Amino acid sequence: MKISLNWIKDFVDLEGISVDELAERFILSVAEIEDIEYKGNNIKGCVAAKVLKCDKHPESNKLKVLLVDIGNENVQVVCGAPNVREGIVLPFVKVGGSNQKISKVQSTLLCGEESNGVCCSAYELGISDDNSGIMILDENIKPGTDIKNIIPIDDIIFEIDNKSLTHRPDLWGHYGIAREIAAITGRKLKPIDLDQLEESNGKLGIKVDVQEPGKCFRYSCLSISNICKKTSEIDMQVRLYYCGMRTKDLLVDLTNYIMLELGQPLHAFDSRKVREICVKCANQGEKFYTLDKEEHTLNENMLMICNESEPIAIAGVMGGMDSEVEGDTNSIILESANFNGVSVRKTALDLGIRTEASTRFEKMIDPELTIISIKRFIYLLKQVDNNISISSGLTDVYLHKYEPVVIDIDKTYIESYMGIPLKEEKIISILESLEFKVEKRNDVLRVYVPTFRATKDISIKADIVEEVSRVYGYDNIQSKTYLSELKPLEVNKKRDLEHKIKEFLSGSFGFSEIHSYVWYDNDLNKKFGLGSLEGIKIINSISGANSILRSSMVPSMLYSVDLNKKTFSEFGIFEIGSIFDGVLKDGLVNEQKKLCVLLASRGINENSLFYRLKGIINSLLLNMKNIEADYKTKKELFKWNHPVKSADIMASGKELGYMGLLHPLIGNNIDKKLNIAFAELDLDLFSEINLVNSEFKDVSKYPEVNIDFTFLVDKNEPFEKTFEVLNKSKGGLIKDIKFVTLYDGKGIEEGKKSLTFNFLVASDEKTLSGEDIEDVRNKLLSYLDENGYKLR
Amino acid sequence: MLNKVSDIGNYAVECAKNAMSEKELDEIRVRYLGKKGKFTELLKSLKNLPIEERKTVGALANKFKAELEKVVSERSEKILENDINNKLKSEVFDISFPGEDFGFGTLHPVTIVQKQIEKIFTDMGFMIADGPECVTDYYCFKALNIPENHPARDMQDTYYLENGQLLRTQTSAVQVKVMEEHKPPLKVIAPGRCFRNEDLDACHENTFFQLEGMMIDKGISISNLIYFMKTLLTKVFGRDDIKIRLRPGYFPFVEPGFELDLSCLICQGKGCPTCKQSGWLELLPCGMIHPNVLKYGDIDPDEYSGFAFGLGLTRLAMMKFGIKDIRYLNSGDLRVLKQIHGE
Repeated sequence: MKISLNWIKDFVDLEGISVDELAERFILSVAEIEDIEYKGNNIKGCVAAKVLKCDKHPESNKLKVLLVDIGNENVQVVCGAPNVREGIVLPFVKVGGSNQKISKVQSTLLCGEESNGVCCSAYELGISDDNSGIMILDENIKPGTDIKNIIPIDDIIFEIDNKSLTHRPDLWGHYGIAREIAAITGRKLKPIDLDQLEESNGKLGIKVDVQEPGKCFRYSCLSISNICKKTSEIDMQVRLYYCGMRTKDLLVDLTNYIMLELGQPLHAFDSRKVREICVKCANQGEKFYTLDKEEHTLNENMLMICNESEPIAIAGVMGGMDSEVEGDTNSIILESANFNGVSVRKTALDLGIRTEASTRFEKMIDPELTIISIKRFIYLLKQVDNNISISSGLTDVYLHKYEPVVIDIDKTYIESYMGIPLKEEKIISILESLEFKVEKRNDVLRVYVPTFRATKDISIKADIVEEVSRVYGYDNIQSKTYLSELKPLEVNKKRDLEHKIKEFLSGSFGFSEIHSYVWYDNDLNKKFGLGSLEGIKIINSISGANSILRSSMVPSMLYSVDLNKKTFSEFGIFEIGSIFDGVLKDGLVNEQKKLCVLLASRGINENSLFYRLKGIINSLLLNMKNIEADYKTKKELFKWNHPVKSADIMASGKELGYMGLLHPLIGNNIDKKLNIAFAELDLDLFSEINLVNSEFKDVSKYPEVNIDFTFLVDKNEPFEKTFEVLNKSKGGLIKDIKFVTLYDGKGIEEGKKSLTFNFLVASDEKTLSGEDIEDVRNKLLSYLDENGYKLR
Repeated sequence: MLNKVSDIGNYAVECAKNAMSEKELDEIRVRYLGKKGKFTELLKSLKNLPIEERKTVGALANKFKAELEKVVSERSEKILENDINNKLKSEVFDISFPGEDFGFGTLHPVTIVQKQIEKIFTDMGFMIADGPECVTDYYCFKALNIPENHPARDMQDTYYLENGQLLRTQTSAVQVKVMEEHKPPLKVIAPGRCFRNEDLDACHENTFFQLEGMMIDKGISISNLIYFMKTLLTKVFGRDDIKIRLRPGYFPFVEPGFELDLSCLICQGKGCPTCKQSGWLELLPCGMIHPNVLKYGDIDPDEYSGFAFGLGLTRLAMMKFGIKDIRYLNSGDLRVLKQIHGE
């Protein structure tokens, strides 16, 4: 919202306060100022000039050569404006001056004629969009008068962030802003000049029937006739323009002016078209043309202003085309109403029209404003058109009066909330500066909230604290630590685990953590051959592309692979994130946290990649929980799982997740030469597993001996079976058995594979002799032989 | 006989001292000290000598044998040393050749910042809470004093799900849940993902991270809020000349509500393009927890008060690492992510 300081100065004396100082105080105590515009700064050396002579340019059809009186001299100037003529007074920038378009006016020759200055349009003065011709001033203005003494071009505009005013209906007009400024600068707020509507006394009011008291809280109106003046004064036009309003005619400008001043939207109906008013809801499906000539389809919740039963305006949003005031209108019905903000907001949203009026009504403006605004309208109208008459009585249907808000608060409450000591007089003076009434009752302050703050903004003690502290100045509150009982911190074990896993994967194995979106990209899924994946739907996504929540993180990881496959020939990525696996019995989404780890490589063959990832998971489980996992043939296969090379990971009796290779068909669609292995683990389950206590066993004091055996095993015998057989030989002097290597290349008998194991041999009692070791070796050899493992 | 021993001994020692190679030394070892070496033979021949002479000759022979062994071993070391030194003199090595590539891992920029801030707060006794990303309207709005049709809902474009739940628009959705589960005194932070239904550009993401913080106890005041925010920012930016200011900000779940601005770190508050000449950077919204929110959390607002704040982790990570486009963070693009290293 744009605020004109000239306008503010109508109500508060700002003498002696710099703009920067004012802006800073305002930002710290009221609302954010996004921008400060200095209007009129670029208008220099501009005076009123009287056209003494206006001749056709000898060389041009469009141009004219003027002789103008600029007070102390007559100068020749060339002007191209269509509306220039002899005898008028116009704004004129002298040589050396500037306007909105020309930063320094110079003497020039235009098609051979000397031109010493520039005649200006309103646009060139920066006070209007009108650039159709030069601006014509009042003919009685003395030539040479500084234009800034005629038109209030100089102004400073604060652009206030609307979002910071959402909760403050009272700040949607200059008078409310002026009230705040008065409070924070310690100045006095001047009362606003109003007409007392004496003329309306005894006259019959316009008939108003409000059928929806829940939607229309108050409806005030009266009719005004004999309005002869058509345009508003230039001062008003400039203010409206500076505040972002288009100027139109006197009546529209005036309603807008009141809205920008008091925050109360007004509407003027042409009296010829409206007889009596009925406020009711529209018929479902009814069509209505708004004054911007747009057609709208209404619904039965939309509140309408009707002439008898014919809708003439959408309440609080926009007037209708048919009842709009026109050029020949000289009598109007002025509506000043208060509508329920919730209803106005809903109507505006449903129709997709947000107006200055609806924006204000949405904030729940003060119903007390309706009459004040009518009085102000009449006052200002009379200032420019003294012959108008109030042709009806004042109708005032006041159906919903807000309860007065009275809050009892004590000084200690405010002090403890703010954290600093305060004088009671200070509290009272701040509240009174904001027009709260305060009564002292022993230790309690009884605070009467003014109506313009009582519609929803202020209702509880904390609201009063805000008023006191913001005007007192948050920058005057010192920082203070907090003392409390010392006690050990409750540790978030899951978070600790998450961080440990992240450190482990990135620190030990070179993985990079990525973040991905929690929804599927079904375009990519289709490209990969995964088809359209199903999941919980987002029903209102604006992009449409992200409307299915993921139930696995694997596709998300594949998107990243697709992005990185060209740059990196080998990489590992992981993420800890959420998946959404259907809806539970209680109707809530089954949200789970998963860890997804992925390895991609061009150099490592797919089997090795599988075992590499398996090794990493083993390390992870040992490091985090001191547990080992069992890998079982994967029971349930997802589209992305390799049907053979996939495994469920069992740990501590729980199915922790799964790992494996990417299905080759999917892999081919992503990159034929890139091998991909991944694991998806349930982090919630993982964190529930208890760390297995470390059991210490003493180490042998005597030298240990390593013996390696390489032998042939049937190619299809699972490793776990071979290992189980070998493990049976453990015990006695054989302390440990470790797998060393597998060979199934050249030179190996058909149908066999060669395995090498390492046996750790040691005694707890003595140093083993050569014979002892030979003995163990022979026993092992015969054990292998018994089991059909031929030494190689 | 003694002379003969001396002659052999002296000669052998002399030879050993002058030996030029390990091979020469080996010959000396074989010739004098081996099984068939001269000293061995000499000692064997002692048994033919009379007892007296046997003793003296034997002693002398052993002395020479020991000396020779010592000289040979010293000489051997010396020769080895010379060999190595000579070899080193001519050795050429390219230390600029690349080391073996083990690669390196990285944490996500948001994780780096999140860990740093979690540490600051846990050091001050704050616990870390978690909350789901799918929440009910109740926790995300109603319990935060944002009733239906409240304009504040317009500010947060929400993703609604088919089952009536929604993706949380703010980590504040954790507040009342935490209040239900823990009683004051309460010091807690809750970092996490949030979602807004909006189009992406360099400054807007539909998925981003926030960190919610709150503290509830008897007598918690605005001045406490200022203290903790100042401490946080001092630590985050690693400098103790941090200046902050509070100004009014409107959020329905706090009263009073503030926008916290940080004195611009680039221009020291003098005004620069980064802070749009204002000298201040708008950093985080905060405020005193609205009494209605406390009530929703079953905490008596007449007894307790508290403050809450919401820190944009994503934005902070961007500031910290100079990431200009927010979309990089969720891209999974390793060319970006591999550049960022945390402490």
